Amino acid sequence: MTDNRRLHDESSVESALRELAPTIAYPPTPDLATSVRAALTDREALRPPRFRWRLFRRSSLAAVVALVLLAGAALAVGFGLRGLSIVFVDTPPPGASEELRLGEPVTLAEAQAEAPFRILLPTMSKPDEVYADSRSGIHQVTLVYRSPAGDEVDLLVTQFLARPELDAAVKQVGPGTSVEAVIVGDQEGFWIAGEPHVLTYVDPRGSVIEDRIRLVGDVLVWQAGDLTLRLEGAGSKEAAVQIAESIE
Amino acid sequence: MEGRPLEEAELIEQAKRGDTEAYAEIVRRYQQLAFRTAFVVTGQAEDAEDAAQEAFVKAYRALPHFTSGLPLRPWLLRIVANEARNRRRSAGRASGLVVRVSQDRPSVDAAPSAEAALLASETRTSLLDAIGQLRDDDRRVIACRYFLDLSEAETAEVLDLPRGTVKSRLSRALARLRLALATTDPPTTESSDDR
Repeated sequence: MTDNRRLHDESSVESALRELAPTIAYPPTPDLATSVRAALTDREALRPPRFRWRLFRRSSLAAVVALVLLAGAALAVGFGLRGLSIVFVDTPPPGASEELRLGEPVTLAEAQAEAPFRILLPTMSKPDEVYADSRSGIHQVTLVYRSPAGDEVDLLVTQFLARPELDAAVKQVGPGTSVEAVIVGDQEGFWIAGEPHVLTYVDPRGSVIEDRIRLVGDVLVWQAGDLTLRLEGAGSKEAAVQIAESIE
Repeated sequence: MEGRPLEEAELIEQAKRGDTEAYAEIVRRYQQLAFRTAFVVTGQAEDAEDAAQEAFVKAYRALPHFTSGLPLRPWLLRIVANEARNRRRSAGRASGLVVRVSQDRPSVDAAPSAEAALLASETRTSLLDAIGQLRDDDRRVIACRYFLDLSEAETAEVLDLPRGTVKSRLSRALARLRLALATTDPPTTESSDDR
């Protein structure tokens, strides 16, 4: 028979906790298998688009540049704008697929209701689709503009708050990729062009989150107030900056 | 499913090819752990259900990126924990985790060890009282490690803590638990373990 006095050393307490485990009363486990299957069927028509750009191929080369958003100041050895630093790392990430990882399809109104910031929009037109994603711990909203035929993605505009407690997004690029400082309105930004590069996220501890990878093309990254914005698909630096400057 | 139950690796490959039945079987195998993990994070059954369901949906979409051959459990747990933490944050409330024990003995499915049978009911009561006195952070780390039987690495993922912090927090939680037990008089009456 056990008694209280038995539990005054660590191993005894650990043993007692393990013995307690099977008696813990949890709420009944719901039938998630059924509800998940139903949800998958319902949402099939709303699956995120896939990029078919030939440029987006797996990069197997070694030297990479990583853009670390936010704090990471201790890591930063090169460029930097507020909340965004570029650091050099030695090891490339594992391979990536060609599927976009944009999060959940939502309406613009829903996205705005959920977002902890005012969503900025290009003046050219309303987005064809909107996605929200909080998987990385950063609430991220992506606007999708499709080609006139609707079968391909023309432009992506992603925005999120650069939260100070997060080490944030990391962008890794292959050799042959250029990183150029640009001015967007009166804000600093970077135009990253050339070889395919990979978007990943790191958690608050600075480690890379496993479900992180998607390849992107030439990209403009800049900040507008507390927001970080990323624009992909503009085709040229000039076009990207022009679109970026129209976002308000 | 008929015949030999499919190995997890086979289910994963089928699910990757879009077989939602195979994926439903994966969900079935992990739904209890996922739900309970989400419950430990959110402290609310409803939030835990929503988080676990959404996590499984997101995991299905992310499955093509899952590297075959790696263990599925930590990958799933990470997605569940992320979703549960996001729900907890967006709910804007900090629901404390309340630990209760069942009045009944454990079911056959959750058969206790021989040692478990020896844990006297009054000691369980004291232990629960002491757990109830702990800070919520301490309760959560104890729940992950001892009640959900997660590894240190899994606990770190679920609580979004560095692994070293899990170790130190757990050590402090156990120390506080011992202190609470030391200041708790053992019950003098028979079992009241349904508190």
